[in-house]
Amino acid sequence: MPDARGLRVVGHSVDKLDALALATGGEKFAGDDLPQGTLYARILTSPWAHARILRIDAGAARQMKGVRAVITWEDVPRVAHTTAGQGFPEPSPYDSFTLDNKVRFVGDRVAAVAADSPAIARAACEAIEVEYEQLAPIFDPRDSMKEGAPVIHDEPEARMIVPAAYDKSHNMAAQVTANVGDVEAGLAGADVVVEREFEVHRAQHCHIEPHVALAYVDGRGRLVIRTSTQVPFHVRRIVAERLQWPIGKVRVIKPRIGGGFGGKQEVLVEDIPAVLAIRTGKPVLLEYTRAEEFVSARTRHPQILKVRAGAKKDGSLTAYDLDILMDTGAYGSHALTVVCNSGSKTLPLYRWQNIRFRGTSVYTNLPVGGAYRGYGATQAYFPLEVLMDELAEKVGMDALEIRRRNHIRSGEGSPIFQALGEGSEGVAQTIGSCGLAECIELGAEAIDWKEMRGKAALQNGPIRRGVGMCCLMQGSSIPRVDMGAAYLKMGEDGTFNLLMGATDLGTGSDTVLAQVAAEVLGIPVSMMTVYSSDTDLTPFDVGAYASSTTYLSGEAVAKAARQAREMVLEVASEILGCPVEEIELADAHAVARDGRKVHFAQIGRHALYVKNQRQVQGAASHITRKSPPPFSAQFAEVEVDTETGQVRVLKYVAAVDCGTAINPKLAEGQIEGAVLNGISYALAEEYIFDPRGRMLNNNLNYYKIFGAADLPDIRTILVPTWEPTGPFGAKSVSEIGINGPIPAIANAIYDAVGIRLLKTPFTPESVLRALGRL
Amino acid sequence: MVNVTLTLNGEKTACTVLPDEKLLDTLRRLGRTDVKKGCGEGTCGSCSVLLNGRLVASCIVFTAAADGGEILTAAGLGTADNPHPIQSSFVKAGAVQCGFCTPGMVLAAKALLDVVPEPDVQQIKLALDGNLCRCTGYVKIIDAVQSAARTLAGKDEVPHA
Amino acid sequence: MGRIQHYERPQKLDEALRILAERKGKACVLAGGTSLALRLPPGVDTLVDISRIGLTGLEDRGDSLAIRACTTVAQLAAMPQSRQLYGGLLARAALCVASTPLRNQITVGGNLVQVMPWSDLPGVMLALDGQIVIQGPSPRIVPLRDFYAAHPRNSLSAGDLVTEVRIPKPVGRVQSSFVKVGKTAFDYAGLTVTVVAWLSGNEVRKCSVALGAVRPLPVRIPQAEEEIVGRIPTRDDMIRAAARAAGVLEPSLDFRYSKDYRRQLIKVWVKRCLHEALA
Repeated sequence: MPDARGLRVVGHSVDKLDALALATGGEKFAGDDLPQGTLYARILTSPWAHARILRIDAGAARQMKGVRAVITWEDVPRVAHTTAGQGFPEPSPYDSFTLDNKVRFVGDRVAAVAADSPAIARAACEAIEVEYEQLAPIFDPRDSMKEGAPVIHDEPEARMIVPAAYDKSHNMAAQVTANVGDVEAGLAGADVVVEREFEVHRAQHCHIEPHVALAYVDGRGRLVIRTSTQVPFHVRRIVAERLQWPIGKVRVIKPRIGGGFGGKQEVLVEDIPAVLAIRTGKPVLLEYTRAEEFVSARTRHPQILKVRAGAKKDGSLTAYDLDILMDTGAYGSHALTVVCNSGSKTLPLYRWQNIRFRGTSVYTNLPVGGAYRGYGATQAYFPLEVLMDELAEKVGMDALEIRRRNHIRSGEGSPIFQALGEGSEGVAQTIGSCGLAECIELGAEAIDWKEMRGKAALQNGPIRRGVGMCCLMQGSSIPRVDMGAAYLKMGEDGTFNLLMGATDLGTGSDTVLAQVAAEVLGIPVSMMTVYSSDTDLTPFDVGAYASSTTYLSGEAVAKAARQAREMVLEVASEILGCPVEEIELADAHAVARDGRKVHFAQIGRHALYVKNQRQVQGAASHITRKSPPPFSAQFAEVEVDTETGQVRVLKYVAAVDCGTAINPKLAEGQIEGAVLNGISYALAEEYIFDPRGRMLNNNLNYYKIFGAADLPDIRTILVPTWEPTGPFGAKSVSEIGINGPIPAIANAIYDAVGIRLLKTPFTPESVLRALGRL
Repeated sequence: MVNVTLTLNGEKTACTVLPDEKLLDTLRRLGRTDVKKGCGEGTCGSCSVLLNGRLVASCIVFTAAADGGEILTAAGLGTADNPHPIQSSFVKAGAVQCGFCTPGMVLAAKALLDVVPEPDVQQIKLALDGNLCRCTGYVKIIDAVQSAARTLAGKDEVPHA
Repeated sequence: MGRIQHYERPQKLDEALRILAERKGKACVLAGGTSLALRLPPGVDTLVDISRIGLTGLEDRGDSLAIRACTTVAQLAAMPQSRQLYGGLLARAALCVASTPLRNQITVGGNLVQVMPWSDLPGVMLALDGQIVIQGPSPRIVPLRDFYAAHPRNSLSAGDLVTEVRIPKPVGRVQSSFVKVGKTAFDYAGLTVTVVAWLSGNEVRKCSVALGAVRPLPVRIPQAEEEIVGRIPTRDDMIRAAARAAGVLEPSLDFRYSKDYRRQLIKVWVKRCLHEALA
């Protein structure tokens, strides 16, 4: 098997290209450097969870000094759409409107204002009079499909545009099923069976940069939107659709992005400033406050997961039955695909002989779910990996051993790959690379598994320690759906511009993809100038989601670079007077067999000015036929205070196979960030609502995310493998890390104090209750 | 309105502000967009600046209260041409992902290293406790601060970013 | 923004007091500003910035130590006296307040006067038998025990200015402990416990047990203290004291925690803090 040794750029931790400019404050984000005369937009949001707007009077607001425009549902085209930033046709129901005469959660849009200052915009929102007819709300997803439940989407336009189950009259936003073999027979034939009901909670991405978009109409009458997005091309398409504005007259620019984690895979804020900019003829900025981020942006979908699993005494796995009820909130953004991924990203990990999967997404009158790193897998790894521990215990096997015996291996397939895609059938695939066995061994060694596991009984005092682990897989892109494209051109100094739609939202993908191009071309990364992304200037890319950028866009970049390489060789052959077959590219030189060499600068100049003048370039796009999973084994050592219920993670080890880590330091950074987000989610983060569905803790003072002072000892182990279909053997790395903390910590708590927690987050109070001490 | 004079990244700057205007808004109005707004409530730290050498959350500082003060932002700490060793260490360590928290984070590091030149990990964690980062998990940020401390103590070669 | 019309920046205490008296009820004292930046009291149109009238630092007042009102929490944490007196209680508690940038902004006076249920320092100062010094139309010194009998906003009048808090210097051997419970390190307290024990030999001469974040204002728990005072406390004494502390108070509503859980926290942490202070 090939490996990354011997590569000069790939596999090296080159400095992130934009890091220095970011660290010295020189980079610009969407809310920086506003044009002269920019107006400030603000959205009036609903105080009620479910209500019809009977009357809305913006007269007083419109008369206020400094108010430039006020819009209500009466002022905008009524176009049903989804805010999910997915490819067309989107597998999310078309159930949203720019503004509507019905509100479906506390925080839903009611009206919008553009004013000379944020303070005036705020005051104008307060001056809008709205008369509501309150409707009965639904706050528990278990109630959503009951007979006689209020219908949240009673508007005629709401529909699913792809062939998928959708029943709005019963508040069902999506449903998906998959069957392999006969689960009942599998359970009947099992020696041990475990049956449980788990609950995974709502959470927010908390990217430090809130959603922000600036819109203006340029001198030629084109609508320009500079926005903090992961999906510039989807923003262009979807905003044009919503505004009924020609798509060719929309330009979307993605500058530096202050984190996204899926929260910015949502076409969430762009339409309002766009409408207001068209109305006022002035630039309009809409920037969410932190409170709006919590309530009006998107969240991780909560799920209730009923599971049954069976195993034979020898540890072989007979059946897994997973039935998920997912709360998509008031709108069905990603309602189908997230629950699909709960199955497709978890069920292939082990060789279950029989599988039954059903995922049902229902509407409630609570904040809206959306894409969030891990995307359904985060929720479903909780039951899977806790049950693996329980089965192991029941058959008297070590937790590592049952996983070793059953996990999928290189060369194997899973019927699930074909059965479950993203809202439609999936694509059959066999596993190319799988380093999971090594991840388990290296991780176990790093956490000192043999010494630490099962030792709580030997401990004294109120504070007990334990270790737990879990195995994980994710995917890399959505096969046959996602497309990425890149364009490369050489300048007269021999350096290259790489233009691509792939959307660096802070992950470092600009750097990683530049490394891929530089490796192909035989130049250092310092000779690459990267620009991403601008719908006028860069080729298409679906955007940064589904763990696709390195694997998918990376291959597009590699293809484009190979084309450019061919042209470099042709020009070099003219200069050196020898056939291209006799020329190698290395260290920014073309080197002939006899040792003569010519620098790329000379090649660039020659191509543009000297002879047979032409642009040395490459342009390519790529779709994938596979979604090769990265794998991971993760281990947590925890301390449980049996008197207060406080759980502290002392040490966390994440061993990850992401194929070739194109930039190891950035890959580690992805894992560390995802792991800490996952730990913070497992232990501290949660939404607290009042009885009317209003979020009580809509700020970072009460919705706590881990800071540096809460950081446990996190160790990352990269386990190199080679994925034959990825650029230089690479797979994805960005999402997988967040899926581990919930099950690994749950299993470690069991090891420490013998309680099985079935509901997240593991708050001190829930631990104490489970211990029977409260 | 209140007249205020600030020494902003070494330059005397006079401005007129509302009596309850916040320093973050003033700085951004003055073009200092390296000072970021992440929460507006003093909790995330992305608006951190050094005011008279001390780390503060500029979104909850009244500009008028900073009158006569010296303010240092990330752009004043160092530039791409001439970065401060802390900034270079952040680049080298892989401590910059989206970079939205980074301008505040490097200033938090500076405030620490000015007082504690050789901090241990616990001291670094405490010094960064008011600057949230959602991308990195802080691991490489702590590496960067340690490495910057070594550089500033002359125990390391200055990294070239 | 926009409601405030005047920003006054007095250079002397007298001047500050004069402005407060003149603009009765319309003027609001600005020190660290972390609370005011988020929420201005109704009816206020003037901010009186007291950061430049010499109210920073410590002063020896003979048998007590005065912490001037505008001393920041970070300054308090860094002072040698905070680390030395009362077993380092002041430094330890000060470092638990909010976060690094906020410790540079929040003042000791502000933390004591703008007291929120979860404020960290009021319970500590209460345990130390601190006194508040108020200047204004009727200058007075108020024991914190009285100061926190009702919310200070009710007892302070418009012209009043809190200038310092006085802590008696420890006499004899004094040991202490402090804990703050939160979801994360930088969090509003779900509970703070301060224990201070004045010892002669191994016998506890006097003991303070103060709780924060249980009621709207910090409270002393005499029922717990009396289980400890006048003896060499055993583990059982401490458990009994903790149980009484948990039983005597009805925790006020806090959407983050149930009352039962907060009672349990009190029981555990009072016991542990007593144990630590008396170890």
